[in-house]
Amino acid sequence: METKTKVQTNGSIPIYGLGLLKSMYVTMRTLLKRSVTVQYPRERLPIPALSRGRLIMKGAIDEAVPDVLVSDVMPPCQVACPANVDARGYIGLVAAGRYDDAFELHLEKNPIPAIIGRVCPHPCEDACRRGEEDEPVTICWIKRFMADNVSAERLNKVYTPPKIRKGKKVAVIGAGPAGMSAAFYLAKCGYDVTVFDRFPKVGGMLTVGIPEYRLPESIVEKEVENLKRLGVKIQLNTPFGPGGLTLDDLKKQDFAAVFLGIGAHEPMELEIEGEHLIGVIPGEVFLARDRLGQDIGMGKKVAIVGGGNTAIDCARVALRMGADKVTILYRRTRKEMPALDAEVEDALEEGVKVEFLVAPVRVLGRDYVKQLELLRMELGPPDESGRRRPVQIKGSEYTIDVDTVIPAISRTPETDWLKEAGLDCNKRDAIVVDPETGRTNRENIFAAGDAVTGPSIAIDAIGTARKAAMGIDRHLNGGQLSEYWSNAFNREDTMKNRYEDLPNREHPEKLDPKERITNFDEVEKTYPRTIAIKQAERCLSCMTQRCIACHICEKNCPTRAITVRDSQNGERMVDVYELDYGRCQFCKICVEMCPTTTLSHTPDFGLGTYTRKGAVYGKNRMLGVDQ
Amino acid sequence: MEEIKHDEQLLQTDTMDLNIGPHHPATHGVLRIVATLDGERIIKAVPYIGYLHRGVEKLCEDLTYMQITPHFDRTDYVSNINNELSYVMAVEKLAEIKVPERAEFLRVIMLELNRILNHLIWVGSFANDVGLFGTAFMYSFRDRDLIQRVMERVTGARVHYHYLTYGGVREEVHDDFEADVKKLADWIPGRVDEYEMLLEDNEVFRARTIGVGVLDKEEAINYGCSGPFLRSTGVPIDLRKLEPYSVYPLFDFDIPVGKNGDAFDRFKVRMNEMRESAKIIKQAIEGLPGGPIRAKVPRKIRLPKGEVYIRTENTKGEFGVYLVSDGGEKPYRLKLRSPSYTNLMYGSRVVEGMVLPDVVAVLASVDIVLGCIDR
Ligand SMILES: Cc1cc2nc3c(=O)[nH]c(=O)nc-3n(C[C@H](O)[C@H](O)[C@H](O)COP(=O)(O)OP(=O)(O)OC[C@H]3O[C@@H](n4cnc5c(N)ncnc54)[C@H](O)[C@@H]3O)c2cc1C
Ligand code: SF4
Ligand code: SF4
Repeated sequence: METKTKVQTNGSIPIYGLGLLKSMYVTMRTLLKRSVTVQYPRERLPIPALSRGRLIMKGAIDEAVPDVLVSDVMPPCQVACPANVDARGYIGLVAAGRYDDAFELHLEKNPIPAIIGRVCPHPCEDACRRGEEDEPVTICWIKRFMADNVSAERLNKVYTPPKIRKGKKVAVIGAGPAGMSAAFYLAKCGYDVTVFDRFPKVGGMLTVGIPEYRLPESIVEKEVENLKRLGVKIQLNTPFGPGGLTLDDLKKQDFAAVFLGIGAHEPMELEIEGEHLIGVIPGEVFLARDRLGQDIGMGKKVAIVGGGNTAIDCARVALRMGADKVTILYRRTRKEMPALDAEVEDALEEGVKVEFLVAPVRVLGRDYVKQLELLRMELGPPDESGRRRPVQIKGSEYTIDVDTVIPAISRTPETDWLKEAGLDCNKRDAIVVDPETGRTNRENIFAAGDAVTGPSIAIDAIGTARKAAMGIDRHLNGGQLSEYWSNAFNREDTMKNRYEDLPNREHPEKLDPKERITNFDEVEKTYPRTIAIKQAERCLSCMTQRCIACHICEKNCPTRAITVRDSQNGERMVDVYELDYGRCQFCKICVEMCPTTTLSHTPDFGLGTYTRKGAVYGKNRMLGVDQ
Repeated sequence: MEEIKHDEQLLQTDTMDLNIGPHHPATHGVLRIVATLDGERIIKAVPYIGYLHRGVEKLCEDLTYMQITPHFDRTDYVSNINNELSYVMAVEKLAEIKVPERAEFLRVIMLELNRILNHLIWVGSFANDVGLFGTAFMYSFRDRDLIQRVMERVTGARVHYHYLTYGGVREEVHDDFEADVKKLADWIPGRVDEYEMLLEDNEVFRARTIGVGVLDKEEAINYGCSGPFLRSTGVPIDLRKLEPYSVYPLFDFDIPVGKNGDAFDRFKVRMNEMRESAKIIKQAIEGLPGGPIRAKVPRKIRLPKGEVYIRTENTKGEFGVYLVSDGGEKPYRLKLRSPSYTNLMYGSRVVEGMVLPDVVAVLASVDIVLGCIDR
């Protein structure tokens, strides 16, 4: 009795019997109250128009470059892509099994996905947000899978010439990726396009540069067929410049505008003694001769000078052409090599030797190449490109026996004939243009691709060519962009519903090195369906502002205050998002880590008293309360 | 013989051990000092630390580099941004990240505002501890709030700012930031004058600080003391000048030092430091460049293998971070060097031979934060 009274007067809770239950109830209730459990909004959140890039593409000149305006809301992959291809969009569609739609979406920025899916050094993957978590999404291989699996009907639909005709003729000089892209977009806008090239084959560097085992000619031919179906005329074996046509000839033939996509085909010289002996073949010439079926003139012991992808290509082609010994000579180390790591690996696998820290000083021999004199190098301090500059080691000369030397160092555009025609070129022989419209200093003449940027990669050529095509369109269409550009794919549709935890990229099947050096068969295969879809589902759908249940916020919360529970109906969606305000330290790391930017904050997400301007979403939005 | 001995024993009283703290307002946290007293004289004062030990260093081994930063706000919770700086600089050094200029300027502005915040809180509580209860404390906390408002508008937090990150700062400042900060920088020196007016000529204050807790220059150096504590003895060591980092070399400012190394000098040094900070802030806000506030750095950074020790001048002295990376996404080891710790160790030596009330005055003048000592 006594105790009881005591407890009651103290006003605390009894510790036995019913009272115990009650006290447990009170404790539980307070504990439960501390965390706020809410239903996560399941409907799609509205996407601001700006994040989509396309909606504002009509009208004034400045608005025609939406990519620049919205770069801060594009996903990292799209920002990193020189042509700003919407990787997130088509990956989402591939994940949903809608390859046709993915293909069509892709064409908005890149009309030759099957080719790019094979040869692109994929800067997008280097930037991929997933790469920060584990390994980047295999964007390029997914692209290739998608391009190889488009249905014939969709191809028919895409490649029918548009009904609205503009009745104006446009000439495209150069049938490389730049020329092909410009031709595609202009034909889509309703112009009559004629493509000229001096080679007997279409594709530019894609055909005469990139070897068959990486890009089979049949793939390029398919793209050309498609272009023809769009109504593009292709006129091969038609050189411009000395001994060929001139720009004025085109004017006489009623071409309203000219697109120059002549690439960079002039090999740079080593500038050493003996460079003009027989047996010294510049890399580009070597590869072109191979592809055009000309006599190559290669011996058995081949030395290749350079560290880029061209050098690797030359080495692997030389092996396949029957050389006994192929050595690549590079003046820096493996770390500085500009060639892609995977390519170098492949070449080493096939038996190519690479000598680092050497530079050629002299080619020895009478008439024919006999020997190559080399000098050892060491790395000095970094130069302006950030790579360490090679410095010669005096007196370290030595010679090796070779019968073929292939310099593959760099190349410049052949623009002498254009300079004569009055076009502005810079000191590296590249054509000077307005970067947003591709316009040169001469009326009606536009340029893009390697001819403008100097040696670069194919997707870069495509990106610049697309801008130039827009420039031409606006120019010929009375200052307005054609309707084609505004027929955007419905982006909301591309949003992904599933997400895959799988941490690793999967490599598509490759031919065995021993087998592959005997022929020019394609080394890498296309993904099979199941793998492609699994890999596509690894994409984090960056910046879509829609939660994909990746749990990254949960994993990265330093105080483990977040609990994300997936929905139980098999779909990867979040049902419950729980934030324990008793633990949260308001560090906003979850916001920073969320790849989709679903989570964002205002200072009222925290213990502050003042509101900062400009922040839109906050605790309320996260918790599904009215904003 | 016997009798004489007896007399000596009569003169001596028994020593007494007195517990100061762990829960006592004058210990500025949870610190226990066991003072051995002979009458009112202190024979020995031994600080017992660890009541606020949270295992931060060990904890950091299990956190990614991004997750670690907010913990630095919480080591010394009065000079938050200053602590973050040592850590982010360590990461930046290992990862070879270059910080954009605008970010560096913003950092300096926030660092110096933070330094003023620290010294304001110190002057208030110091006055309290030496017996001037109330006025200075109220004033300093009011002033603190005005600065905190500006910082909060930028960082979103009043105390645990979490403003720095490797590669720059986390938030862009608001539109009125420049005007706000300029106003602050103009207004602070006047406030400092007022504190001086309030305390300097106060008889109680002088009686309890002048000649109290006099430090020995050499011994202070031997103990590894740093910051205003060391500078009060006249040693002009400040890492911002000695080993310039960030954009400090661009600014014109002085390092205030004391002469006698007593509690009064420590007060003077800190007051003058606030003036210097205001000077730096003014220059920084006038020269604030445009541009990005953050370098492009992956969110989940993996540092190359290696080790690095970075020390910066935080509000209390040399705050160091020793970081060992084994190439993973979490540090292999992270060790902090806390200025409060070394300063306290010497501070508790100095009180030997003083009377008991002076312990409180000396302890207050050291400026310790137990969160940083215990970690
Ligand atoms: C060996 C090698 C390997 C490469 N590998 C890759 C790779 O794996 N991935 C990648 O993305 N990029 C690669 N590249 C780069 C890529 O091929 C080029 O960046 C891209 O082809 C440039 O496109 P373009 O349309 O601007 O020029 P090109 O492709 O060079 O096309 C220019 C066309 O214009 C024609 N032309 C030039 N002058 C005249 C004239 N006066 N009259 C008529 N026609 C003319 C040429 O015959 C040519 O067909 C490689 C390049 C080389 C050399
Ligand atoms: S995760 Fe997906 S959306 Fe994000 S960068 Fe990678 S490919 Fe692009
Ligand atoms: S990080 Fe973003 S997308 Fe991923 S689960 Fe959290 S809220 Fe959803």
